[in-house]
Amino acid sequence: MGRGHLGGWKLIMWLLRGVIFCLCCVVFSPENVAATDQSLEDFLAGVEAQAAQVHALRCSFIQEKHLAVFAQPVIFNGVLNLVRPDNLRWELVAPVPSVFILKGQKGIRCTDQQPPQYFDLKDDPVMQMVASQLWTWLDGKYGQLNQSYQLAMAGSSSLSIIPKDDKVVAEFIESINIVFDPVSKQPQQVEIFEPGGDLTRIVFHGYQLDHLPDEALFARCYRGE
Amino acid sequence: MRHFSPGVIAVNRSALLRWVCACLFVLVGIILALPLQVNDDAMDLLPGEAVRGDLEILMRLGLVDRVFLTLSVNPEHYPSSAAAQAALKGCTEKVGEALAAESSFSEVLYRFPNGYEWELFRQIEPHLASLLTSRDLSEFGQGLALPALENTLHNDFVLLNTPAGLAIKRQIRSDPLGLTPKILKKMAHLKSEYAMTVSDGYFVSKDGLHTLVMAQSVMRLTDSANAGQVFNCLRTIMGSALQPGMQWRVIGSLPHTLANAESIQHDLKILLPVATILLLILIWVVLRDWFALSILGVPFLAAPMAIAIMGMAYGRVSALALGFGIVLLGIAVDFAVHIYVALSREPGTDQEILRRLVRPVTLATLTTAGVFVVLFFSQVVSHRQMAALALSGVCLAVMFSWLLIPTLVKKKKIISPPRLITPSFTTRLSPVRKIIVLGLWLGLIVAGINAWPALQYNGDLRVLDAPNQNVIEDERYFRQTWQQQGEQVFVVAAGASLAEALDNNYVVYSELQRAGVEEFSSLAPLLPGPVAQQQNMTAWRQFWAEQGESFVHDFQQAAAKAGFSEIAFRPFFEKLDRPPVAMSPERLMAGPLKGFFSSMIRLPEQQGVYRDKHQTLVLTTVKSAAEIMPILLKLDADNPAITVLASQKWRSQVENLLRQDIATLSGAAAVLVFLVSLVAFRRMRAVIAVLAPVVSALAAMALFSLATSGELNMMHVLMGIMVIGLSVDYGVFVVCSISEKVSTTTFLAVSMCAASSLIGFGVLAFARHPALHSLGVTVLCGIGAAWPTALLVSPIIISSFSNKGAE
Repeated sequence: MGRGHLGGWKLIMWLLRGVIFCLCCVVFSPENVAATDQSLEDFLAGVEAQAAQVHALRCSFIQEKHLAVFAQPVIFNGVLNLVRPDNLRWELVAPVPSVFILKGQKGIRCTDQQPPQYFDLKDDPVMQMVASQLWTWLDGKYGQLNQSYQLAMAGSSSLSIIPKDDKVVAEFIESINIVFDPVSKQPQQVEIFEPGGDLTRIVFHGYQLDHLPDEALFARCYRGE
Repeated sequence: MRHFSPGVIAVNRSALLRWVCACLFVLVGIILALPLQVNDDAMDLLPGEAVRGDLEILMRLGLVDRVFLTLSVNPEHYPSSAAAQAALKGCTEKVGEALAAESSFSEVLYRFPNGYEWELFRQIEPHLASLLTSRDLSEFGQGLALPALENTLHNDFVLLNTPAGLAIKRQIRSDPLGLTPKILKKMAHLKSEYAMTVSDGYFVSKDGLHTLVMAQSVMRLTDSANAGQVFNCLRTIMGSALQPGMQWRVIGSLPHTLANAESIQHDLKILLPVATILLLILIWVVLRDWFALSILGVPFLAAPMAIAIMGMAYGRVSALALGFGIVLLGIAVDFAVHIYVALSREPGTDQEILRRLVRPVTLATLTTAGVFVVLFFSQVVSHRQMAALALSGVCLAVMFSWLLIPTLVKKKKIISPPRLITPSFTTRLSPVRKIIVLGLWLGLIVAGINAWPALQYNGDLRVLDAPNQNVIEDERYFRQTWQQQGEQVFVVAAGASLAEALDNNYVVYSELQRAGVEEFSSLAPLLPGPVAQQQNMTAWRQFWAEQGESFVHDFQQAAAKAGFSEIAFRPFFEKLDRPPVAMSPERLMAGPLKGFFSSMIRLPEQQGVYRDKHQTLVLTTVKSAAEIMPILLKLDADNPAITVLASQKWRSQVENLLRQDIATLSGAAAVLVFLVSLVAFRRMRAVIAVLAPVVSALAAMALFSLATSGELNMMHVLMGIMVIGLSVDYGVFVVCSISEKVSTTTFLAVSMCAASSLIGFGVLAFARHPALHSLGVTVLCGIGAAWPTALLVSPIIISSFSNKGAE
C-alpha cells in the first residue's frame, strides 16, 4: 500500500512537472518572446515618433532627492526648457535657486551665491559625460539605448531601464523607471535608483509643447547677468 | 695550327697570372665585405658627438618613426553634421583597431577608453597628497575659513541637485573642497600642442570634422623601402575603413622619405640615360674605341676589398659613406684613363710608356691620398668612413689599373688632339695673352677669397629634403586643422631608472613653472618623481596637522548648515586620516591614458637599436620661442641628465663644427698637397701650378654658392672633397707633362677625365632634388674651373719656370 501511495505521489509529481514544462514552453515560446519584444519596440517607436515631432518644450517639475548624504529628503521645484537639438535649461526655482544651462558645446552653472560658472564641454570631460547622458534621455531616442541598457516594459506605459555591461554607468545608476503619459508619450515621472539605495524622483507636469522660449534663457542664468 | 713565339707566350702567361691574382683579390674582398653592416643614418653626416648624441636620443624616443594621421569627413555626404561626426568616429575606431592589429605598428593612439575621465579621477584621487605641492596647499588653505567653507558646501549641495549631481556625488563626498580639480587643472599640461578636444574618447578637431590618430612604426621610416611598405599598409587600411566623403592625410617622416625617393627616382630616370648617352658620345668621339669602356671599369675591381677594409675598420658603416666612398673611388678612373690613353696613343713600348707614367701617377696618387688622409681627422663619422673606403680604394684601383690595363690595351694610331688641348697651345701664347690669362685667373682667386667668408654653412639636414606639393599641402592642412604653430623643442630627462628619469623630468617642469612658461606638454604634474612626491607628502601631513580640530569643527558646522547628513563626507575624513600614498608610474601607465603616457616615457627596451640598456627617457615638449631657448639651454648645460633637442641648437652647433672642420681640414689638405708637391718638384712655381686647378675649383664653388643661395650645405662639402681630389691630379699630370715631358697625351687625358666628370656629375645640376642638384652644381663649378686652369694657367706658370730652368 505504502508503495502504491508513493507510486501515486510520483505520478502526481510527473504530471505536475509535465504541466509546468508545458506552461513554460507556452510562456517562453519564441512567438511569445517575439511578441514581448514587439510590444516594447512598438512602444519605443511610439515614444520616439512623438518626441521627433516636438522641437521645443517647457514643463515644470518637482524633484525629490532621497540621498544618504542629505540630512533629509530634498524637494525642489523647477522648470525645464528644452529646444532640440542642443539647448537645455534646468532651473531649480525653490527652495534654493540654481540654473544649469547647456547650449551646444557651451554651458553655464549658477547658484544664488556664486557668479555664473561658464564651461566648455570640449575642455570639461565630466560635464561632457553629464551632457552626453542628459541628451541620451532627453532626445527621446530610447531605441538607441538598447546597446547599453536592458529595456523592459513595466506596465502599459512604463519603461524599466537597467545598465548592461557599462561599468561607468552602473556605478551611478542601478535602474531607472520612466512613466510616460499614455497620450502625449512625454515622461510623467522618472525614478533613478542608485547603488546604495539613493533615489531621485522627478515628476514632470504642465507640458507646453513647441513653446519656443526666449533665446536669452539659454545664454544667461538670470536677467542682468 | 697556330704557333706562338716564346715572348708572346710569356706575355700571355704574365697577363693570365695578373688576372688570376686580381680575380682572387676581388673574391677575397667580396667574402670579407659580406659581413659588413650598413645603416642609413643621416646622423652620420653630422659632426660632433654632442649633436649626434642628441639626434640619437630623438631616435630612441621613437619620434622619427611616428606617423600622424588626420581623418576628415565632408558633412555634405551625410544627413547632418552630427551624423557625419558619428560616422567619422566609427571609422576612426576601425582604423585604430586595424592599425593596432597590424604588425608594422606599435603604440597606436586613437582614443581614450570609455569612461576614462572617471577612471583617471579614481586613479588620481587617492594620491592627492603626493601630487599637490606646498604651493597648491597654501592657496587651498586660504579657502578654509568658516564663511568660505559654508559657501563651498552650499555650492556642493546645489550642484548635487542639478542634473550633474548624479555623476559627481561620489567626487563631492570624497573631495568636497575641490582638491582634485587643482590636479585636473594641471592636466592642461598633459594636452599636446594640438588644438583638439576629446569627444567620446576620440581626438577631435574644434569643428568636429577631423580626428587624429598617432602610430609608431616598428620599421625605420627614413628607409624608402620601409616607408613604401608602411604607406601601402596605411592605404589598405584606409581603403577598407573609410566611408565615402572621408579622406586621410599623413604627416611625419614617412611622406618625406617617399617624396625624396620619388624625386630621386624621377631625376635619375631622366638624367642617367642622358649622362650615359653623352658619355658614350664622348668616348666614341675622342677615343673611337668601345673597348675603352671596359678598361674604365678596371678601377672599380678595387671596390670589394676597399669596402671590406672600411668594414674591418668601422664594423657598421653608413650607407651614405658607402655610396659616396664609391663615388670618390671614381677618381681612380682618371688614372685608368691616363694609363689607357698613354698606352694606346703614345709612341714606344708599354714598358717605356709605363716608366714615363710612374712619376705623375705616383704623385697624383699621393696628393689624392693626402686629401683622403686628412679626412680621417674630420669630426663627421661618414667622412672618416668615406676616407677609409676612398683611400684604400684609390690605392688599390691604381694598382689594378697599372697591372691590368696593359694586358687589355691595343695600340691605336698616334692621334693629334685639337690644338687647344696640347701643351704647345699655351706655351706659344704671346706674353700679353699669358698675362691676360693669369690676370683672369688671379681675378677668380681674389673674388673667391672675398666670397668665402660671406658664405653661411647651413647645417640643417632639411636643406637636402625635397617634399613635393602634396607633402607641403598635407603639412599645411595639419597645422591648420590642429592649429599647430611654430616649432617644438624636446626636453629629454634621462635616468638610470624610471624613478630617476621622473625626478629629472620634474626638474624640467619646475624650471618651466618658475620661468612662467605656459605652452608645454609634460606628465610631471600627474607623475612627479619620487623625490618631489616625498616632499609633497611631507607638506600634506604638515598642512593638515596645522589645520587641527578647528577645521573639522568648522567643516561639520558648514556641512550641517548646507543640508548635508553626518555621514556625507566620511570618505573625505577617512582619506585625511590615511597615510599618504605615492603615485606609482606602473599604476598610471596601466590606466586609461597609458597610450599617451607611453608616448612620453621610453623604457630601455622600447628604444630600438640605439637603446642604452640602463637609461630611461622622459619627454617634455615645449613650444619654441626665442625667450625660452636660453632657459632651456641653461637647463641642458647645468644638468647632464637633461638634454634639449632643438633644431636651432643643432643648426648652430653643426654650423660651427662643420665650419671649423672645413677650415682645419682644407688647411691640412692644402699643407699636405703643398708639401708633397714641393718635395716632388722642389720649385715653388711647379707647386703653384699643381695647386692652381684646386684653388680655381674652390674659388668657383664659393662664388657660385654666394651668387645663388649664399650657403654651403653637406652635399657641397662631400662633393667638394671629390673636386679637390680630381683637380689636384689635373695639376700633377699637367705639370709632369710639361716640366718633365713625360707624356704627350696628358692634356687629352686630363680633358677626357674632366669632360667625363662634367657629364657624369654635371647633369645632376639639372635635378629637381636639392641633394642631387647641389652635388651636380658643385662638380660643374669645381671641375668647370679646374679644367681650363689645368690646361691654360698651370702650363703658363710652369713653362716660364721650365724656360728659366733651361736657361
